[in-house]
Amino acid sequence: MSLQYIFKRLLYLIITALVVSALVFGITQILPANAATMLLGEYATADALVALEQKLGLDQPAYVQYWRWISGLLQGDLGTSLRSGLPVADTVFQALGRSLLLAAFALIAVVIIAIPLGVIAAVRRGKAADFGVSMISYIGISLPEFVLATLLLVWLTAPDIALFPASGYVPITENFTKGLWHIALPVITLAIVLTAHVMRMVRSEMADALHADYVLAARLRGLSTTTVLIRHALRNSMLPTITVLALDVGYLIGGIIVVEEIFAFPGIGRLLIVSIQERDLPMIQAGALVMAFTYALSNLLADLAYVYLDRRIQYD
Amino acid sequence: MCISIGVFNMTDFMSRLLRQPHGVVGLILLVVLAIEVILGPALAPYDPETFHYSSRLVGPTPEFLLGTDQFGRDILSRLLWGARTTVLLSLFATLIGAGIGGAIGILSGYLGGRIDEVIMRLVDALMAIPSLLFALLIITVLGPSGTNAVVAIGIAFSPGMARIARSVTLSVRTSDYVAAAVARGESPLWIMSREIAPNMLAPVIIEATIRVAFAIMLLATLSFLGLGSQPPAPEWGLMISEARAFMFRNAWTIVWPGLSIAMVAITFNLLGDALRDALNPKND
Amino acid sequence: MGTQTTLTLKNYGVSYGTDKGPLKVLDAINLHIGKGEVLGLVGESGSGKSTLALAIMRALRGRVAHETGQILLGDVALHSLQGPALNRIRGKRIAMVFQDPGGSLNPTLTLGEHFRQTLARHRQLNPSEIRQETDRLLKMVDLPDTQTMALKYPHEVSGGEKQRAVIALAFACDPELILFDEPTSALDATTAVTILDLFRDLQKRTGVSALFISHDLGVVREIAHRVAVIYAGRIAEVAENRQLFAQPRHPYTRSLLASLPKAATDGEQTPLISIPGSLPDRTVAIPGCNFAERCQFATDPCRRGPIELAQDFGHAVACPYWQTVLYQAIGSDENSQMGVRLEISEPPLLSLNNLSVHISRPDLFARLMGRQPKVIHAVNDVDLDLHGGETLGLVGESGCGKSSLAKALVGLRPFLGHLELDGQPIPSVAQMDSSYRQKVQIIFQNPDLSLNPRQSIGTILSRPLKLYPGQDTGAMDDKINRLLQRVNLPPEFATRYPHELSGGEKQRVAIARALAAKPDLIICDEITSGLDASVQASIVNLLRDVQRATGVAYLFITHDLNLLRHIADRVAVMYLGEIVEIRPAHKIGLPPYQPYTEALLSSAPVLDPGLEPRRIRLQGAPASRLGAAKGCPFESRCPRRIDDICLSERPPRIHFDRGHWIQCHLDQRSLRSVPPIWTATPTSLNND
Repeated sequence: MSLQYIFKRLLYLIITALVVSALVFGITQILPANAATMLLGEYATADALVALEQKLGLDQPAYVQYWRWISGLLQGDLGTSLRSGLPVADTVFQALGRSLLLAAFALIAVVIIAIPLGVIAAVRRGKAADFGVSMISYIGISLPEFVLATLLLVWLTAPDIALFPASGYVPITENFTKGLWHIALPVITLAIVLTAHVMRMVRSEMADALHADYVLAARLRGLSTTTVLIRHALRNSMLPTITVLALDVGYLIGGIIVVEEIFAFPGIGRLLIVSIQERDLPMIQAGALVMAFTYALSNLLADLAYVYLDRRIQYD
Repeated sequence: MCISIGVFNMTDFMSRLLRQPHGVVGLILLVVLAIEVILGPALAPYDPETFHYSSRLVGPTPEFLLGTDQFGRDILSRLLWGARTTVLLSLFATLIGAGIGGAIGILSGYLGGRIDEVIMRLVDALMAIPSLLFALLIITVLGPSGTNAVVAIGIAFSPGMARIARSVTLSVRTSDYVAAAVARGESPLWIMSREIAPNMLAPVIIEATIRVAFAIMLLATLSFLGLGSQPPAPEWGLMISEARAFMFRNAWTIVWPGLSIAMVAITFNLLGDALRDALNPKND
Repeated sequence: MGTQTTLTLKNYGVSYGTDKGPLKVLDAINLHIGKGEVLGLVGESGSGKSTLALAIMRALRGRVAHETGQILLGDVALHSLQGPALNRIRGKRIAMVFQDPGGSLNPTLTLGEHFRQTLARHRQLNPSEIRQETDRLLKMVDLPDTQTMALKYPHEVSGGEKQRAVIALAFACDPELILFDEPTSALDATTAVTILDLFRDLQKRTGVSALFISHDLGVVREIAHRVAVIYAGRIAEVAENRQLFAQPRHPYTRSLLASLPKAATDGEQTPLISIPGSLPDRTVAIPGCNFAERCQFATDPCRRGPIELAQDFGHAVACPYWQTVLYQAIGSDENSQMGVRLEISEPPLLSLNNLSVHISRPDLFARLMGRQPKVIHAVNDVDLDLHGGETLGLVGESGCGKSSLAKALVGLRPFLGHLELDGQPIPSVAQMDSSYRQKVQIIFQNPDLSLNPRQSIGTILSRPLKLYPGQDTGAMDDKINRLLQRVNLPPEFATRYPHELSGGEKQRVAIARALAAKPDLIICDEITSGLDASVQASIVNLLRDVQRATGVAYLFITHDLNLLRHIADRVAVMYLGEIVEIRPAHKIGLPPYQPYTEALLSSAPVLDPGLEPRRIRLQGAPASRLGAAKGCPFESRCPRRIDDICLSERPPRIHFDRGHWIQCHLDQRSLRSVPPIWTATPTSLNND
């Protein structure tokens, strides 16, 4: 893997960030009501509005405002929340940290469960195990997170059962067991949906790999079944799986938005929904940008990992 | 849904589709769904918006087959009425996405060169925004409503569809039959419409089918978040959202709409996979 | 060969389950391979030859409906082995080498790791022994730098090197038997011969037995002690190598040999004999001879059967009437007769001067960085005249630029330099008007890719008719019928779709489409390389018929030099984007030769047992084509390289007889001083 390739990919990442920021900024610009109206409410006087618009720089052309926003962004200044009056950066990064924890637990669960199950399904193709895995993954990919989360709430947090708390958040740094207890349901929801996606992909990649000529050649050299499966088929099917995992971070981000809303988990997803409902523009901009950037970054890392692992690809 | 595979042998195609278990199950579910969409309101035992005060939040009974919600509305009737909105709006959202994305993808792939490179960089950047987030942003601009949710999902789908349409265009474009058409001096219009387009149909249809499932889930999710259809519409996602406060008193208010959404999504996922296998020449 | 047999197949048969019922892929196969013997197995596509190899390895793919008979390795009954017992034999006592060396090596493992796994599994060696043994094996197959070679990944070595590594892997556990399934078919001819040399040498040294499967009779003649011919799942004939080629007995073997283009020093062009019809339907029982429907000598008893493989002094034939028909010539009236060639017109129809094709990949990033994009010089300064009514053969190995040249000539690639058609200069692709496009048509290698799968044959043929209406009047349907008739296809094909046709039929449709334009020149880009020999013969004969009737010229691009002797008037030899020699086709076997032509001729398979080729072997792989080469393109591999002049200066063109020039730094005298590539051996037998 050449340095040049990494450099090129970083350049693309910057292009992506620019396009997304312009888009997010553009969308908030088209909004019928601007920040001044929102701050002062519908019944503000025209004079007060003009004065505030001047103070916030809203009377300047859009590109000037965009430039101010972007340059602030590069200095780590994401503006101030229109609602709370707190700096956006602090709120967003605190929320992001909590969401990343959620995502990390979900991804670990997925890797531990989905990859082995996918492999088993591919190896036992057409058998009961395969059928079972396929059924579960069809249901998993067809069940929206909000349905699953609500059903889990109904069954596991009902007053007479109360296996888990229905909502809230306790930092695990504060109280580890209590923290885990609170984080369990959101993680389970995300993990189930994601497992279904990843399992499906691993199964199909592994099935392809098992059909490859080099796997037949390895079998015909009399190598043991474990060697053939692990050293030959699995090794090659893991490469596309890495890409798939990165793409699934996209689902994960979508899932996080919904799941955090349902379990009232104070992460970045809930922050975004609340900001959208309250029309807190700087908060929407920052939240959306941070999420998109996380996704783009995970794709970049996956591609780099792929290139590093697959010696065939020589990018120039 | 009409699967138009051009002049490709239709009976042969159907037999390939029916040879796979998921094709058979998918088709059966599709027929059930079609009946629900077409005849739903006629089959519904009650009006979906009539309140039955005396029987609120009851479980399944002979009178209310699937039970009632917090206002005593018949869940079965609401589901049957809602099928039309939910399914048609999802199809429509997918069509918008396939239309916009497909046009951009074909154009980009066909023109090639710098234009292609610029368009694809933009598409890549847009694809970095997860669909739900993209849809949320668009709704922020348009305001929450069922129609706006459809538009938002359609736009959010376009980059992905453009990606696929372009890659298919590129592979078809470099095929020898297109080379032969270029060499004999066919017009670009003929090449695009008669040589390339019919060969792109299959992969685009497969992708679109799978995306219908995704659209249904997204649409329901937006309604659930209060950003899609507004009460008292019998939209399935909205039904779950409205019933949440009462879920411990009657879990059926959550289970039935949830199951309905899942079944429709499963139908299109199964069909999409079956189509992919049936149209894959490797499976001969 | 000795009395001990390594492998015995007794009455072996296998059927695959299909929608139409069980398909008999192999039927009553009786074969044996003696110790130290190489048995060649020859058959066309669909004959079941690869299935036989997989059956021996117990790795049949797909739905097996029935299996009958026995497969014995020594006294081990392979057909009943399973699981660990089978795994102890695979790789240790029987090894297999596949067609595509790239596919059979795991791309994520080093070459050394492949050896480590195999050696550790079957020979229980410790790590240092494994290293030594890997080194020894890689040296055995003449790979350079064995220490670093073991650390390389498959994609880092050339196709020939990969196949050497795969062969070394097959020999790793000193097996009794190696199965080769088309091991050289994916390689260029000059590389393939070096692999055959290597195996012949190793086989002599180790005394291993082998089953060598190929569609290519020439390759089998090179390598096998005995040869079995398989047709539609049954063995048609088995004989000692020399005997089979000198006196083939089964009508199928005789037809197959007659359909192949042959090497010869010079002389008249002979027609190729095609075999009419196609493989029988094997989902129904065939009581008699399965070749009867295509056999010109078949009578009623042939169809009634049963037919046995009868032994006659080690020469087995599955045809009871072979003796009666032995002296009747193969070939019937429908095969084209050689006629008088049309006069070749002056001045040239198409004229190329300093024509080059450069391919560069657009790269936004490279442009942003202000760097020049990499340019591949696919075709370099080609000068070529093509006359009306002639066939110019263009021969070269994969990647030599012959297809890029073809694409440039039909406006699919931009070109530099001068191009004239009928004296009219065509400065660039943009100037190729409708009249140029009508006069110059192209046929591609693979009809599966060149015929739009969504269009009926009628639609496909109607397009050129509509684009270039010409003087023809009459209904479109009639014109399409006439075109189909012209290429010997029935009129009802107009309503069919490409996937309903066989490979040969599809290529006929592609020819008809080219003919519909009434062109002056048809560029045929490897149009027979995907076809079986017997189908290739019928396509070649069709092209000749068309040429005699219409006076069309062909630029016939191929990698098969022997084929050109049957179809071309002149031959142009291309290497790394340059034409290094142009010579008349009928004197193709006679010196002087450009050194690359000489190597190519030496690598061409020879079927005639009376001919022996002089051995010239090329080392290494072609040089990179990035940027323009200053000297001779062949310099890096040339066995007759002089000195640095070959590297630094472009060689001059040396003219010999009329229409023969060679681009080389060697002088006329040294070019002439080599003996002919083929010499007749005294024991030559004459037949047919």
